[in-house]
Amino acid sequence: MANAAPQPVYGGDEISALVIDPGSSWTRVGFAGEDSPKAVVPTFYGKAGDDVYVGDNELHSSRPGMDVFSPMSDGCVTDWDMTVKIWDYALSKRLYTDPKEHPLLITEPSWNPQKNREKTAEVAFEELGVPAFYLAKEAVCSAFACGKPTALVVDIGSAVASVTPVIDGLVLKKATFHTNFAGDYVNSHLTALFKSKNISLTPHFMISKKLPVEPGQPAQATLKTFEGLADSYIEFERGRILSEFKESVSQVLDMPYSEVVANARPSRPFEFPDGYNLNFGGERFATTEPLFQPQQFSLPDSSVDSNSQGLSELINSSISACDVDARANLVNNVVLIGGTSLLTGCTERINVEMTQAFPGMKIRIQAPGNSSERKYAGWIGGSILASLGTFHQMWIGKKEYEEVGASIVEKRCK
Amino acid sequence: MASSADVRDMLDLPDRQEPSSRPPPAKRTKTEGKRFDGMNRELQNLLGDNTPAVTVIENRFKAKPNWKLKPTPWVWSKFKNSARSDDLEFSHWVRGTPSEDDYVFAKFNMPVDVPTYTEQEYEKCLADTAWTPRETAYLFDLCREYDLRWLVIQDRYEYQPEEKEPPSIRTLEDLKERYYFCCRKLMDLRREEGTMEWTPRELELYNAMSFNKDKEMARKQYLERLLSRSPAEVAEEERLILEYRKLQESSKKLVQERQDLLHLLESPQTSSSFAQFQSSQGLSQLAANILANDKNRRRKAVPESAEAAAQQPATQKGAPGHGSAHGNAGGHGQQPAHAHDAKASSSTQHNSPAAATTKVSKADLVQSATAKKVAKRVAPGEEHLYGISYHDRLTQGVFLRSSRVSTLKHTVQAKVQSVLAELSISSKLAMPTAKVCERYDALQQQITVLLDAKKQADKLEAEVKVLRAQKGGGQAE
Repeated sequence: MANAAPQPVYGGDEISALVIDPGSSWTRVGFAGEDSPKAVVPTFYGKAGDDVYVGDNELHSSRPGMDVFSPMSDGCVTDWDMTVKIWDYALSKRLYTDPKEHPLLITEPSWNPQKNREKTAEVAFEELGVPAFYLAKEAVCSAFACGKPTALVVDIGSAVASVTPVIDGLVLKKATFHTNFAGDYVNSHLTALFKSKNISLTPHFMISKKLPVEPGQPAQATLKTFEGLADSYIEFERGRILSEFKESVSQVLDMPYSEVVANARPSRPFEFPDGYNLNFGGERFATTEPLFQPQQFSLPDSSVDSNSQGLSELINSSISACDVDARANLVNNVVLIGGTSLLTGCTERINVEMTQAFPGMKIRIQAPGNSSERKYAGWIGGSILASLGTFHQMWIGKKEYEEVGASIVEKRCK
Repeated sequence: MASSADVRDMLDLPDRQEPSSRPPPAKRTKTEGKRFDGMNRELQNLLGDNTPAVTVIENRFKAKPNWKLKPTPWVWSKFKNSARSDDLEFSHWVRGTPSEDDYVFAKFNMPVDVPTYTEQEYEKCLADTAWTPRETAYLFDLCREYDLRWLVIQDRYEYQPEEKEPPSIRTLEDLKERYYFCCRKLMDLRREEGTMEWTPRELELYNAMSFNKDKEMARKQYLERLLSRSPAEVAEEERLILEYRKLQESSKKLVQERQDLLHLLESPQTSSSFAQFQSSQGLSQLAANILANDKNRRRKAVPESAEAAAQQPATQKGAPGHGSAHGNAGGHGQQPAHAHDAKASSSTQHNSPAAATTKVSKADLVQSATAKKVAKRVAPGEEHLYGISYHDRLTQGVFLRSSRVSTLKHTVQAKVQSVLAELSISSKLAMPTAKVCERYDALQQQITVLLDAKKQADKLEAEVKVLRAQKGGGQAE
């Protein structure tokens, strides 16, 4: 064939970059240009003495004395050593790649402090040894994944729920808001609910044998015995039951909350790992309501700060913080993503709340129907970004990093 | 037809030696039409050129791959991007040999043109008490960095004032005003310095950069108010808009109806060209149409009034003849008038044909009403004084009355003419009024009768003569 220039299909040009999207509970890792992450590993590490365990298999195997921790808080990486271990595991054990050969794109929350951003660059260049690096905002990537350069990104994850206005692919920092009333907060409400109903959450791994029982009857299960299991590990395993419960039973009331309406809705049965099962009615809705009204639905033994805002208030304050000219456009381009947004009725509820808050504006919520697109929107957007021909001028080269230092991140990754 | 030999002769070319000695090249016979293979070929061999009666279709699943085609090589090659400030190289897959051209996507790196200025220029025209040179420079840097995306610029605007400077709180409008003010000033300055006139594009740019902060703030205030309406207000507004639409619709209908009414009252507007009515034929057709319409309308409106009219022949006689009947459709309380009104109007048309085509004005209506009152007092014998006449039947259209003077047979006509000439009466009427025409007609009739009588008399006279002659002859014998 003659010297044919590469056809710029959709402006794409693969340079086989890697994309890492670290979330509060899962870290998505894969090759740019693909439509879903190759590997999704839990953002947790187990620590028993000096030994560190990462990856699904290692984390979930019961080891005496193994504590499970998260290296992140508030959506930002705090424990860099462990984070590097997780990333390294994902890249070498799951992707079988050497990061030294690939440019690397990492996503970050919009409120990531400067110190953290510089640290990310340092880790990428010095510990992973990548030839080029870029730090992209998660919200921008999510908006890109939905095909929008301008959007109001509502991301309801596990640890953090955030609302971020994105204008022309740039985050408006002053109008970005986030709270901790997200998936994990629902988990703690569920735990409180089970505790009030005297339901013991026995994780799967403890069950040796179980017999079917009638709803509400005590479980008939034989348990395995373990010695020296850390509480954090058992909590971590209980989280899996809660996730299952959230996926199959929990629901968001698709109208402003009213206990009467919630109780009138049909109930749903749930069987716990030990065979105990029960029908859940209004509780299905009451436990997710703190996402929207954290003050009215506080945990039994604690109170919520009076300044804390629910999701709809978060959206309202974010939009009011934007310039008037941008509001109509943002409201018309709401992108709803994140694992917790998959709760049934969540999209409808947000639509209802927004219609009430902005009656004069045309509201359009784009929530990807595909659950993996919803969960991995940040990664998918990063994958799109890193495979664009026009993006390749944005990468921070290793040489540039060495010349300028870690502060180059502030200058280049806006 | 000229043969090739003739042509050669004309062009002085040597004659071809023994042109016919060589046999002409054998014509390639076009035997192979369609090539078949397999069973079809066998069939063709058997059947010859005829199309095979039965076509056997072999079921092939897939064409054989063409192994001879060489695969196009893809090369993992490094490339440099001219849009980058450093010489970092990335690699990508390239089909064929990698080209030495610039990176395809480098051309998309288009920065926004943000003007730069020197310190002297700043001193000369950009100085402002509210802005320090440092902050202005900071603003311009941000504009360059974020390609004039004002929302982002405002979001990222974090100017750290020096110790002496007052802390700056800038709204989006402040930033825009300052930037556009500076841009315009710089353009002004450069125009003054340079002799070159502005291109239309520059002028347009200059005008586009006029930024009115107060106007912009007012606009945003309005917009904010618009966006922060309560649900009740929005609902109310929608309801009002709906109502307004309804009102608009009904008023449109009302206007339409009123227009229709006015059309009835006022002169009919000609919508189409009136050229067709300029000939007498077209005019007569129009008159006929109007009359027909008029009659139709009347028939529908007062079928019973005709009976009433028949019972009162007296009023019939005294009815007015002037004007048209348009205004009589009610309101006068003179129902019986209708039936002969038609007559009257038609007589009008007879008397003055133009009246039928002229527009009927309100004045006419008044006139016809007064005429009616007057007519009642007209004695039967005085009708001609007022030009009132009655007709049993009218012919349509406009005509010259003289043309309606009854004509006679050609032979008779000539005789009548000679008699008229004898009486020194012109055959062409000088003033063909109704009366004159009538008299003339009567005269002609009388002349014909007289001529007939004369003819008869002549005939009888001749007979008498013959008989007398016979008698005389008989006597003589």
